[in-house]
Amino acid sequence: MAKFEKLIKASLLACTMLSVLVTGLIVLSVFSETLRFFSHIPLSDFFFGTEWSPQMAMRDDQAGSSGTFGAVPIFMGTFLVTLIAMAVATPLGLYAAIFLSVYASPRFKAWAKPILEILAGVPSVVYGYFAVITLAPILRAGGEMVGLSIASESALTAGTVMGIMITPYVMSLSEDVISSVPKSLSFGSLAIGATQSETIKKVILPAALPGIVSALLLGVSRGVGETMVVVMAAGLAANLTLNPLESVTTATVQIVTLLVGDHEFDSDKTLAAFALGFSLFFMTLLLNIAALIIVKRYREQYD
Amino acid sequence: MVKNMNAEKKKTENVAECGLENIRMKTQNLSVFYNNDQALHDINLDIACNKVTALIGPSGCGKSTFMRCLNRMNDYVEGCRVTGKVRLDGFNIYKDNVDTILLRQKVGMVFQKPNPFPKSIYENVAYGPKIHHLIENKDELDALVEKTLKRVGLWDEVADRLSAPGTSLSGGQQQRLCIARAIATKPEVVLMDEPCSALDPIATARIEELIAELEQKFTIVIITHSMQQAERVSDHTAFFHMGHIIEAGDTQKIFNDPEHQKTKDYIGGKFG
Ligand SMILES: Nc1ncnc2c1ncn2[C@@H]1O[C@H](COP(=O)(O)OP(=O)(O)OP(=O)(O)O)[C@@H](O)[C@H]1O
Ligand SMILES: [Mg+2]
Repeated sequence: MAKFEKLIKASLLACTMLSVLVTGLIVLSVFSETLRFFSHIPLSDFFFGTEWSPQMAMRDDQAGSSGTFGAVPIFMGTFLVTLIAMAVATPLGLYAAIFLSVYASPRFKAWAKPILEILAGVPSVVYGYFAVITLAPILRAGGEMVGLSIASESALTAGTVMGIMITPYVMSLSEDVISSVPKSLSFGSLAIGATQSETIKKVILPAALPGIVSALLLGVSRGVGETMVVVMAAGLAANLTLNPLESVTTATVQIVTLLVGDHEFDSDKTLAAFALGFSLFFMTLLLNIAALIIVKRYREQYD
Repeated sequence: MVKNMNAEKKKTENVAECGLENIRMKTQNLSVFYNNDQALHDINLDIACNKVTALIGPSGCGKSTFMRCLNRMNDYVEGCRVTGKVRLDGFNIYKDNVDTILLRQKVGMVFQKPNPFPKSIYENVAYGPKIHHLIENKDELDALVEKTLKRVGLWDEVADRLSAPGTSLSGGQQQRLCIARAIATKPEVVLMDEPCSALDPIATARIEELIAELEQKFTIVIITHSMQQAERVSDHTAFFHMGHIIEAGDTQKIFNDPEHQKTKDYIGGKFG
């Protein structure tokens, strides 16, 4: 019996180690390709350069003179699209979560939550269609009515659809978090005469905040890493703009375009994809750390 | 002059006079249904003003259900339906247009398990006064928090760490904090559903002392499974059994000379 227990434990440990190992190897390989990229292209060109055109030489005497790799417009585009997505997903997801966990009857919740969760299973390429075929024309028509010209591939379209796509995640995760706040806390508040909405604002949401922040963060990292919707709806041109009505591109879109096609996998162009990928990974990591710090600060102040 | 100040003080303390026949609350033909199951049958009970009323009876007999009718917390229970009347100072709180917010300010509640908010000790006590706008400025609030914490005997223990989380206190302290939270809104009635069942004997003794003190200013209804506790703290006792009140009246009478065999058996520990 003891032997069997040991065997189980060993195999569980092996599975854990394997997934840790695979993750480690992926990071390592991306990192080493990134180092190769930066041995050709100076760091400052990549992180501060404002022109992205991987096919073209910047100067004739340039090392690895195959193009310009200023990634600022790409990061900017990623930022803009994600920001718009979160501007859509945060209120929608959070309000839906509050409604489902506090106000909805158990019967309503029993069928509404699964349906909303099915939305999370819709392949992102379908959201992509929706963006291109439905939302983009609507936004353009709407824009024209108020005298705005909206590019057919705009940050607004991509961000909105990405936000709709992320909403079920934010909703489902926040709903779990809000529902796990002990009922006794709400009753404590209601029983001394707080209204339902005061109870939500002053007791439930603060208690659930760390979990909600992590739900939103998960939404952000999904948004940053999302590819299909932006490939279809955001565009390829690396415009340096914060105007949501214009076309922008994102890191994931560029990685796809850099790696699709027939070229060797060791040109600066393909290596640039690894540099972008590593930057994405690094940004998400920083984001998570920042959020942890915020949550900690807030908790201290709140407690 | 002194007299005047006293009158002033009395007004701000908001002690509601005990009205008709010293009865604070009164239920008339109160029945409660959960979906189609009847949990309480035609309950008629008077709750004396500024006295302690104990509700006793075996598990599932409807004590908590009854208590939740007194401040309409049953409104939040899915499938719960209430018929009959519950009067507070003569006024039926089950009328349609009753402001339940105001009702619950007047009829506060303390739960079985201490449930302080994950906020500071100060904020826990300040919560009710703030939402009911009972205070005008920070100084008043500070004074009210201090007074309330003193009243529950917690001040000396927490005065130097008011900003520490309420959840960092011991169980007994947490329960006193919850009582402080409930009385900070200056209620007339405080409902306590097994307030000591999660506490050790020493913490229990402190709560019982506290109840004796609070009795001067508040009408208290307490549910307990401890016969000794009911006998120690209460003036009146109501014995519930399967959704009916078998016997209610003076605590001494119920414990020393009960009229019904069932009461005698329950108090004597024959069932429960
Ligand atoms: N939310 C509810 N839904 C359905 N039935 C309920 C609900 N709450 C209580 N009941 C039923 O009502 C009856 C009375 O329950 P109640 O909780 O009032 O008993 P109690 O006297 O407080 O018991 P205990 O001493 O165990 O706390 C029980 O039969 C119980 O099953
Ligand atoms: Mg009970």
